[in-house]
Amino acid sequence: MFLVKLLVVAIVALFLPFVAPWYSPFIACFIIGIILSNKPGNNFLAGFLGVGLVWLGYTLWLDIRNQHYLSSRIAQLFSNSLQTDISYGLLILITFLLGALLGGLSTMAGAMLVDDGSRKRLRKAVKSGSYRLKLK
Amino acid sequence: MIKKISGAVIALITATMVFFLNKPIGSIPALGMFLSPSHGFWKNTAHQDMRSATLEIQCPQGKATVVYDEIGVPHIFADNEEDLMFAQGYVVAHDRLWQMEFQMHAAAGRLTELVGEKALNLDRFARRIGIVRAAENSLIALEKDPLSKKIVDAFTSGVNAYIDQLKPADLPLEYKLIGYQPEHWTPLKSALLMKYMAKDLTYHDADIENTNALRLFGQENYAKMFPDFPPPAIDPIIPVGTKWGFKSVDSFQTKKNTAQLTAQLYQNPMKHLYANPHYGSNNWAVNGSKTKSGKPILCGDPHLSLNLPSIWYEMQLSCPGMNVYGVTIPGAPGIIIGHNEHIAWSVTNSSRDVINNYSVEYQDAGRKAYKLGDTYVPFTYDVQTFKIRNGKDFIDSIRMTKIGSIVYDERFGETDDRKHIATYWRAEEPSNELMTFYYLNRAKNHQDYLAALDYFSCPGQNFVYADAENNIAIRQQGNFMLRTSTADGVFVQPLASVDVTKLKARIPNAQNPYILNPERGFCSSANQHPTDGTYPYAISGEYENYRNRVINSELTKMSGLTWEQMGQLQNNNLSLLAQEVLPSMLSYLPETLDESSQKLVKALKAWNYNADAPLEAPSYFYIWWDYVEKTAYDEMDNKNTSLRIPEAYVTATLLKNDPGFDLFDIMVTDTVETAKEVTQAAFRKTVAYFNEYEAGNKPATWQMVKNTRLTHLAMLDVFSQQEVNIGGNKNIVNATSDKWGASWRMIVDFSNGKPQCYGVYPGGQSGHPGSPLFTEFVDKWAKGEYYKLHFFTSKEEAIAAFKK
Repeated sequence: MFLVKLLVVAIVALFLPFVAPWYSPFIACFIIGIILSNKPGNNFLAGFLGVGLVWLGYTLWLDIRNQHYLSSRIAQLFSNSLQTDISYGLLILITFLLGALLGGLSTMAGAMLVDDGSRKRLRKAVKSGSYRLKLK
Repeated sequence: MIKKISGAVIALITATMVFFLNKPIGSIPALGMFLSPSHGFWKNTAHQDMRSATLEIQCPQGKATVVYDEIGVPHIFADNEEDLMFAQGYVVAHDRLWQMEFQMHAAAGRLTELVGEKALNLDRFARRIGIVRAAENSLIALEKDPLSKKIVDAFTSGVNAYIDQLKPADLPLEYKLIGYQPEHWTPLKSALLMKYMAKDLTYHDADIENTNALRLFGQENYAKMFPDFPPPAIDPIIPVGTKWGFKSVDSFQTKKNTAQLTAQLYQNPMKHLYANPHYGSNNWAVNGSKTKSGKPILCGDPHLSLNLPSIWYEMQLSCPGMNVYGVTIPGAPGIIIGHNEHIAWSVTNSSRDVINNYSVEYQDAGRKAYKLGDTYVPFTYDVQTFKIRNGKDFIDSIRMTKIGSIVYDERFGETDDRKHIATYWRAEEPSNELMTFYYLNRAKNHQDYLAALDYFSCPGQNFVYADAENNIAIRQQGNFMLRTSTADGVFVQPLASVDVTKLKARIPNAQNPYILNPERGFCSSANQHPTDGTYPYAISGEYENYRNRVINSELTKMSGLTWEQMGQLQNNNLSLLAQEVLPSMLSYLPETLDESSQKLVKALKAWNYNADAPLEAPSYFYIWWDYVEKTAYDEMDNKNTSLRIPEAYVTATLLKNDPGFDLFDIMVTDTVETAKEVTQAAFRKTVAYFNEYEAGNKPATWQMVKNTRLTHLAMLDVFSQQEVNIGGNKNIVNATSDKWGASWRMIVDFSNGKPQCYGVYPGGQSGHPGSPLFTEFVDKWAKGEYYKLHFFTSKEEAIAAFKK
């Protein structure tokens, strides 16, 4: 179940932003959380790793192909305006943590909002087609 | 239940985080968006590199094919000129959209919309001097001609087609950093960019400074500092002694200028926003008598402010009836400097004075009307609204007279009514410069070239020309005023005395300085005087006296030329200033000197006068020369009265030949100083400067002391380049000083049938800082090397050359 959830989160995190804003995966995570589980800790980890790893992988793929050319300059830009020493490695880490944290929290929140009984009923209803998800 | 509540709280917290991460705070971009790999800056590393790629663009009538070569230069092939212009707009926007828009914002006085209140003075200045009015007048002329309207409309649609398909994730980096969206392009925006160039090349007027200098220093000193033709000799564009064969058409000559001067000393509070008069350029063409192949070679290197992205974008444009290669200003249709199969051309600035300033006499303290002739005329008003980011709109009401606007008044920099000045700027006259490039791009011979030039009004330019039939030519082209004397339009004069008809009258194009196939075998220009004193019209401007003489003496000496030798000349670092003045400066020094002084003198005596990057002597010389100017012209350091220092050539001549010149006296001392004491005092400061400099553990090489830098247009240091390893300086053929220099170097060699072109510029084809192409040409440019450029005769040839 955990792996399925992680996979669903990851797929959403990867493809949804092609057609929707950067934060769209987190709305999706919240909904996935409602549907797929009730264990907040388990959910958090799935969201954390699902979004985090996608962001990390995508970032690394872009950045390595670019030979850190742009990221080191952006790191310098942040270093200058914040008067601290920021490297491109730290930028990658922050990017990973940002995606992971928001992914984890939103998946967890979804799970916590719906209790076990109502979730079972919901699943049943969705399965039988008598209930339509209204997503907002 | 508790679980549900905490779930809701977490959801709320997460949503709040996302909300704030999606908003820019101060100068920090929206961090969530900016860091996300899908929409943030990471994405700006991915899609920008068009090297050796092929692109098909759906145009209004058919398809255009774009073949990018190995350095990212697009070669565009279309079936008709409208599709070609559409594709040009699309392709330029692809590489340079942010630059086009940002420069347009600067031209239109709209930077406050992007960066807030801090740009307000800059914006107000741009609108007060009339860049927008000039562009609007130009647009009327442009839309009156169905041909130019068709061209600029097609170009505009191409830019907008690119903008419309652009997803938020793919916005150029600067939009994400500053936090705004591109707007649709319009023909007015292209006109604004052309007028922005006109401002950069003509708005270096010195009427205010001249008036002050004449009043403060007297006629005799003024004539020494700002002579019409500085002694001992000038080397004009049209060789001395050339016969003109026509008489002046000036029917106003009887109305001799009585040089009625105003009684004020003026301030020029926004002088720092004026163009720099030292922006210059070189161009020359040699005919077959001078070359190894017996065919002509044409060279051009326009000098401009050094920025990233570079001011120029390189491309080939091809459709039935036209095949042209060269550089364009992103945002303008066509090619500005380049060549086709038949001809080649390049431009330098004419440096002619096209601005007149007039002191305003108000009817009364209400400042509602001004005196013109014997009557009072009510002002009209140009009301301009400035949208300010994170602030309230600002409204500026600009007083307009019949000849132009009042730039400085009680609302902008000048509280004293008696010092309000109305400005006439030739760039505000309607003109359609784009047609010059339209016809040059298609020109087959020198008649076509002359006809194309007739459209060009402002800024006045020296168009050098060469063709495959071994003709060379140069013409100074512009809509130039009739001046009754060299003092006419050089000082602030009473507005009441203006004859508006005379002011708008012009020298006919056919009587502009022009020469075809001169005997000496070459044509050249480097912002010097266009002619000697025999030209039938009075001319005023700020002129170069060094680069021109180096170029002309080299070209006179040379024969059997190849393109490589022409490249060496473009990169020539000889400081003729140093060669002519340094021996005198050294002779003024005392016999005995301390150790650190001796070190400098030794290096300077051993110097070959080449301002090469790794040498220390040029650092010593130029710092010393700066101190000589500052010490000699201590009178000019005046907070309330704007003044300007003379050209280096004039100061150097005075230093050698007129050591007792009045202004050499240093004001704060009781003794009378001459050139000798000035030079010595400046030398002591130089020694102190380098003692301190060397304590900083940086080598005193010319590269480091000069610090040539390519500055990002939005002043983002991390995308700028510092301490570029290149020699040269102002007044040197390789005119690369700290912030300006050769913005494009081009050599077109007609040696074998079709023209071979070599070129380089300080930047790269891509305007995206995330692309390796952003600064790709810089090293080669600094080394004085060139790319061999591809000039394809057909689409098939281009595709075959760059098939991946």
